[in-house]
Amino acid sequence: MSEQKVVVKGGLVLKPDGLFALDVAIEGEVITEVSEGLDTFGSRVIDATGCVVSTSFYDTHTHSRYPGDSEAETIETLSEQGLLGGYQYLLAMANTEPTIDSVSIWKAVREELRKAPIEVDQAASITIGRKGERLVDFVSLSEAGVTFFTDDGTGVGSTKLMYEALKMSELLGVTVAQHAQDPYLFEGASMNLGATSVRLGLIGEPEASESTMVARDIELLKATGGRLHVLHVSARESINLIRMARNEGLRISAEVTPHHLLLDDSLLSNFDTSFKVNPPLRSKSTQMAIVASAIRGDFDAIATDHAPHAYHSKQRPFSQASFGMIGLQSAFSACWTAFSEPPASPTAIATDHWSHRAASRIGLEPYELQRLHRLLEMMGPGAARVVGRRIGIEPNAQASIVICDPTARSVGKIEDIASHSTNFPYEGRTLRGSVVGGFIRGKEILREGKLWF
Amino acid sequence: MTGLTSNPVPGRRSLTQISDLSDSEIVDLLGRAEIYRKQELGTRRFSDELKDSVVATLFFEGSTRTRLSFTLAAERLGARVIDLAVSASSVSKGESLKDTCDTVSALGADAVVVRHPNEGAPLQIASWTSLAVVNAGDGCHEHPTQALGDLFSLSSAFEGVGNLAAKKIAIVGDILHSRVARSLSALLGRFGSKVVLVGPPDMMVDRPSALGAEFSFDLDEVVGEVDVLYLLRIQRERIQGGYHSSIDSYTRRFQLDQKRYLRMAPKSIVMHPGPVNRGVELAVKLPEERSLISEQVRNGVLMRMAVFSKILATASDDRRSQRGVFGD
Ligand SMILES: [Zn+2]
Repeated sequence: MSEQKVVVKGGLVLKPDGLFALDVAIEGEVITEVSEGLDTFGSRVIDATGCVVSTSFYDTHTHSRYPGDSEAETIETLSEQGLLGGYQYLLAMANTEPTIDSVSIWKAVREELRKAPIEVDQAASITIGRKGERLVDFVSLSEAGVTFFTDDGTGVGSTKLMYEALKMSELLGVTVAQHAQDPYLFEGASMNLGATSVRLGLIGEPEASESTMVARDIELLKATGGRLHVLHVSARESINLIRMARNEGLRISAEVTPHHLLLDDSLLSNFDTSFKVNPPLRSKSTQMAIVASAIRGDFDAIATDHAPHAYHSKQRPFSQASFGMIGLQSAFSACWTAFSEPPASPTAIATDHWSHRAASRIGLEPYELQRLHRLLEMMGPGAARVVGRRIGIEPNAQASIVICDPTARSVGKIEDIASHSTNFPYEGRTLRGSVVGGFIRGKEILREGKLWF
Repeated sequence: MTGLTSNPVPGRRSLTQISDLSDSEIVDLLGRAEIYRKQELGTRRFSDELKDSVVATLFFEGSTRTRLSFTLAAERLGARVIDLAVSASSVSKGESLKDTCDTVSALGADAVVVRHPNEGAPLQIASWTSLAVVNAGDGCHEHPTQALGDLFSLSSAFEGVGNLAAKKIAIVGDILHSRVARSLSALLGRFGSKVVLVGPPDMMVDRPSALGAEFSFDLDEVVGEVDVLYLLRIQRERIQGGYHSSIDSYTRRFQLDQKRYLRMAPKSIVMHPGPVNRGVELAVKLPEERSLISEQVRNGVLMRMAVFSKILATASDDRRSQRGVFGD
């Protein structure tokens, strides 16, 4: 690593209360200065004019497919997509083959993941084999270093087991994350219940399948204490329940995926299995409500639920095809595209002289600047908080930053995605915004949107 | 998108669901079927307009009647028909649908008629291969040629498709699992007919309005005011697994019996896609002028001829023009 000082100049920098025109100086692995008009003498200058400078992104929900499915993804392809997407950290789910449900498996997998050029943390399952019958050994796993437990891929159907898991969470200080989905309401379903499922003759899942489990888990959280994270929220009522629980002071966090922000179930009209995902894409009106909630601040994190699948598991009749889509590399653009829809009354949003100036600096409307701030908060510091980290762009902080151009436009193409899998839902779709540059611990990772190391 | 589903190979077009068709294409199909009807009534000789074409039938689910109807339709126009025996087990084993279809393509078929237990399979085949695909029924999704044949029967019975606008049609039975109900509602909606879906609550779709239809749980409420009563074939195992504990309790509410038949309007008509479960959905001997049931079978073949003629004429034009190019 060159020890030459780097100054990222001319961008709008992510701070807790907004995006500000500041320069960022990096020396070695840390940020040394964040202020206006930094002296660049003797420094390498990165021109961030027209761009935003954010903390690197954290993903709270990745399916690494390691171990068990190297045909769908390898640690190398996963890392490449993560870095290209602006990520520094990925949390791998436990629904691998075998399930990550014991200390020995967890340690072996983590050892392997440590070799990746991106930080990949590994969650453990809540129940053995994710079968929903017996709890894993929370105490030993927690002692070994596991902080995040989830049966993701399925919900914990048993109220008793979820009660016990949350009690463990309280006693050990770990997080229990729920894939909220009622096993009975989900039975046989391959998409959302609505006008499209009725026309296609497919079994649909009602949103209540998710929200009833969220409601139950909140009651269990009240009874046990502990810390609950709600994975990939896709139902309107779940959002209301989580907001109320948060207001009551419960330790609850929630994530939303790029695809639930951008896509709706009408896309399934031609039985395209690329759009088959769990929880399913919802109706247009729910999708719009999720976007509004995300802008309002109801979610802690954007989570990709990146779920690669070998092509043949998608090339099946719709009801038999695998659930899931890839989305790590495209997460920022997908979310930012979803945030593009103008508000019903733009004038209703309070803006001051300053935000007008800052917004016009990067070619955005003031309301867009507020949304962009909200999005970067969820992709970086908010997601990091879910996994227990504090990050920010400030002196002495780790020099992990990402530079995004919010006005760039591109057309989604699977050839541009580094995965072995092709279940990419944005093929042919015009996306707004792109990740152009990035540093991790002072090391330049991305330049002009390409890997650079 | 309007028009028949476009496939990667120009000229190859598919019929996978009613929304593949524009209104004028539907009218064109009715016109073609009418020409074939006149030929059938007269000389019983048809042109051999498709003599260079090969049609493959690919039935992942048994249905002798439907397969015969398609085969007869294609053969009458001079096409060669090959039946690819696919076992139900290849479906349950999850054998790649695409692999099977690549085989069909390689055999040189121009069109493939697909019956499949899973919704959407014909559409997927049309998008994954260059085959022209005709959906012969896919799970609970659609059965477009059945509905088009029924439209042809209705249009003849009411002297023109224009007269269907003021008509009220009740479709009775297991709506939830019926591909005929879905295709038929979509098709009749186009011509302004009023469709009422009738069946027990556990056999009703969640949102009948999504099919452009009204609904009722009570056949007695609608039987007196419809122009057409379309009875669906009832599968006994679905009845017994559901809300009505026995066939008896179902038939008490939804069977067309003598009493209900007498309440029907004087010129109203009964239809059924066949084969009829006598004593289940229908328990009355209908006079010929009040039933379209055998007409539907005959018209089904004529409509399938019209579909092949429309789809394959373009394909063989392509072939002819290719010959021209290569000069053989
Ligand atoms: Zn999940």
